[in-house]
Amino acid sequence: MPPLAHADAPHGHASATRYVIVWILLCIGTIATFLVAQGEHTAWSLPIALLIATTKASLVAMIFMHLWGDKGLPKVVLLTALVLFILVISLVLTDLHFRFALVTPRGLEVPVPPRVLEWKL
Amino acid sequence: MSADAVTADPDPGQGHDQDHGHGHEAGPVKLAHHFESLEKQAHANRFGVWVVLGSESLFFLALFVAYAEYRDLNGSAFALASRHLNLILGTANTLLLITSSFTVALATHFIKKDNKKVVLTLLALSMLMGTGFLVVKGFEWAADFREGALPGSLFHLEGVPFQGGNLFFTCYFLLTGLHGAHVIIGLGLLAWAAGRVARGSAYSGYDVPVDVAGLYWHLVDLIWIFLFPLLYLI
Repeated sequence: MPPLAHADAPHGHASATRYVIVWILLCIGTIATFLVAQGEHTAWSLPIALLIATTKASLVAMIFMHLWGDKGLPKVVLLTALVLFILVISLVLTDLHFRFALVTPRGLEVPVPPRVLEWKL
Repeated sequence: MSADAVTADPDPGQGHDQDHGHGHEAGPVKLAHHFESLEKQAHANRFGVWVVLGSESLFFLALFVAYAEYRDLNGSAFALASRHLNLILGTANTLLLITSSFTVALATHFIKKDNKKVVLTLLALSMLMGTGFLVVKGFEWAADFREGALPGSLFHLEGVPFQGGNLFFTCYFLLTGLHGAHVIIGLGLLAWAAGRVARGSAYSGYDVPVDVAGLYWHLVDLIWIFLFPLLYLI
């Protein structure tokens, strides 16, 4: 390996261990989401899966994309997108739930069987 | 400084190309005439990429909103249609993309240490995993086509109500198709960054090519992290 040049470059002084830790956490999160899907589907299944996804996304943004400790404009861009995201989703869903029912007819309620894992290509 | 792009010393005053053999004299970094220094150019490049990432997020926002509304109206049809997707392949693809994001993060780390061989290996591995993701997705799509799990009026999947089922697959193909297009763009960017590293015009003093390609690749990963539970686990 060549000598470690520019050890004082931005982010260059940090060890790569944190990336390994984040990668392991991301894999654990993915397997946890997979296992949650194996159980009976309840009202909590999606919130739990989305909570795990949000944690994984935060890890990627903070560590892999170096937002942790960043003092620059990227945070402003990301926060603006995030606020708009929450605002639009919540307003659309609120509108949907308070709208006159006949305007948006709902689909049929059909029984949903438990998930069966099968290998197919 | 001329009106055209000129060759700049990427790290003035340090003379590291002679000391550490970056070899950037063979593939110099160009300083655009409207920037005072390479540092300012790098800052503008990075911020520009962040603006792109913000716009890309909002582009996917519209599709997520469509998904949320259709799913709210057709909850059980969406759940039934989701049972049709191959959870094992979906999970394998998630692990592939997460691992490729990890190798890209390592590449951005090792470029700061001028470890050219390691950076090139990591970028090649990332591209290999990204291609693997597309191949797996291709197999999934082929199975969907065979079984009639198609969008809109083409939908004829057995056991899933037409109303709602067709909307699920409209969302599924739009979201995974556009995400796939982003994977292809990301692969192109990684190949470009690898080319810059190989030519010596990306190194510790100017790591922008690897950094911006990496940022784009992480966004592709971020979007998939949300698509996986929303499509496969409902």
